[in-house]
Amino acid sequence: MKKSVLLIFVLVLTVSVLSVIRTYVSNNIATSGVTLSLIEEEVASLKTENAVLSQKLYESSSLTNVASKASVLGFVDSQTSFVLNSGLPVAKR
Amino acid sequence: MNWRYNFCLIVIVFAFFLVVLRLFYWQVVKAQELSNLGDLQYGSAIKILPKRGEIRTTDGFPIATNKISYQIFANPKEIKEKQATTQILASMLGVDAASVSGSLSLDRMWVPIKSKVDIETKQKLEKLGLKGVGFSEQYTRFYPEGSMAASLLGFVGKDSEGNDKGYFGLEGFYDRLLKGEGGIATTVTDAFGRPILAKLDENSGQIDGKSIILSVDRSIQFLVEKKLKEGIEKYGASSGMVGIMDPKTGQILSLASFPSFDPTTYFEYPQETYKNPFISDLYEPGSTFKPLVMSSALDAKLVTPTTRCNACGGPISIGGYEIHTWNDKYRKNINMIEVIQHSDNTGMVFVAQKLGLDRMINALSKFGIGDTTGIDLQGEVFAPLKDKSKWYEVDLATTGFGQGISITPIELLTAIGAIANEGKRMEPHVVAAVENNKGEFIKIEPKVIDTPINSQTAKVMAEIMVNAVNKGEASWARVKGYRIAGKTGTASIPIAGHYDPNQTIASFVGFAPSNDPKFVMVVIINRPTTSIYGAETAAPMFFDITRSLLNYYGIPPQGE
Repeated sequence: MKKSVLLIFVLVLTVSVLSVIRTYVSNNIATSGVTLSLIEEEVASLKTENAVLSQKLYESSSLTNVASKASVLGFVDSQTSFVLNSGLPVAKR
Repeated sequence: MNWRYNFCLIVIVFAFFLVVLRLFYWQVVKAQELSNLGDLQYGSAIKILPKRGEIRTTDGFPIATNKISYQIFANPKEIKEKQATTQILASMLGVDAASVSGSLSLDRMWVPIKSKVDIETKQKLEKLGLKGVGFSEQYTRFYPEGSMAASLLGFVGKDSEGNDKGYFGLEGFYDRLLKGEGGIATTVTDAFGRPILAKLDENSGQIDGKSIILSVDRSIQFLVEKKLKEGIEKYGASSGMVGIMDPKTGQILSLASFPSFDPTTYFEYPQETYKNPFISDLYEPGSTFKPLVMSSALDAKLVTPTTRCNACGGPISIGGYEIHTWNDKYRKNINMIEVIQHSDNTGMVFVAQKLGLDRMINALSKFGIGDTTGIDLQGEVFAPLKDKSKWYEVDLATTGFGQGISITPIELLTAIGAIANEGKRMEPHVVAAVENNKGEFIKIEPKVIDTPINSQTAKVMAEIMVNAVNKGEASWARVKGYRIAGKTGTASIPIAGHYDPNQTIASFVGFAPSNDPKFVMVVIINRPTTSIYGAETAAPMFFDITRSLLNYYGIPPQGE
């Protein structure tokens, strides 16, 4: 077989194989729109849920909210504090 | 025969000309419109709005973040029962029925009904399944701590094009950083409107805003705001403010002012409350200014702590004015330690005259007086120092005790901070770091602006201020067991060419512990009514907050 004929054969074969692969892949993903749509909806829904939960978390853990709840429960600010000092060394007494 | 041939030719040419004209119309004149219509049949372009960056305190808590809300819109052409739909929308959204009815009667395919609707209302409305009514998700600014640090934060409003824009405070100063950049996402869809995987284009160019991390401590801010409100009420003042800074880094730990506003509903408050008075209000500082003048004279070796004032036996007359002490009590030959302790105006006139005009202007400039401090907040103002030729003799004297000169509280805070920080004046900063979109933190390094006095002078001045706290007018309120440097201030308010005899601005500046300061603080009470003196109003507030801060930082007493 001549070299040129071999080259043409390889090229035609490559083009044919790639065309078949492309057709196969395109066929497979052509119907993935539904799945993609569902996934996107789920992602959006989870993002929304995450944002709503974050908002609730921030509201609940805000100092303004904690302080008002503490006040309702009867907690009051500590008016006194004490300090534990280590005693003076014997030589300094 | 010939005329028939010509007639046919003309008709055919004319017909061709009409076809060409029509083709020109569709392919050139209407090309863009048809192209857009074509695009709409198989795809859609969505404007992606960037998510505004968060503002977080030192503990990572977002005091300004975003929450999901919804815009309710309608397609009037799809709505058949307009009367019923109007009633439902109006009652559920709290909108005027006439306004909804007006929108639904328009000959359009999209009309907005209400924006910033919360998720609960949206879900209730969604369950009703109203035909022709839709929802689009949007982010709105959310402040979990309500009005806390409002004057520091500013708020997010709209610009002339209806886009979000930050105004005042941090929202204003860091608007470009926080807002990010919008983008356009294109999706190619099939006949049912479902996206085609192979043609999805995610390259929208949208960049979310960067988040900023403050040096503000949320616990301290909460504590300070609580004490400030209590203090204003207790002393019957019209307003007040507190600023606390780490003198070694210039990082602002808390900045509170009252009355304030809620950044979510800012439009319901008077516009005067939007600005942060700590950086936007000029006032005459009164005696809290004395440590700056005294330390400048000490640094220039014009006086020493034991220098005696030979002009302090009575009122001093300068340029037709008579300068008195605040209580009209005079002490002959008192030394500089006692001048600060008793807040003696005549003693400070003596010091100011020793300093002289040139040195006074130079020293004040080094302390940052008459210039902006460079704080990263929108709205900082300053009153430049007068030109040397415009100073009268009496101006030099009154500047010695903080009258006749206007400054902002932030100028005073950073200047006193220099005394606390071995003479080094730091640039004040509210933002400690910026978080980029990759989650990396870019720290903002502390910056020394100037060194108005040397470290030795700073130590001496700190000791003089400790003495003023322990033996001065406000000693009754001090925190026992700690070495706290401080100075009271009772500033007269200039009105129509003279000073108001009945109203004052009471203040206190100081830092603690004096040997290794953890914070420097300025407390200002505007027009207190229970007492006009700083020693009886601002000082107890200062020490009350100081006591809590020393506990918060776990600093044990070291003896006075």
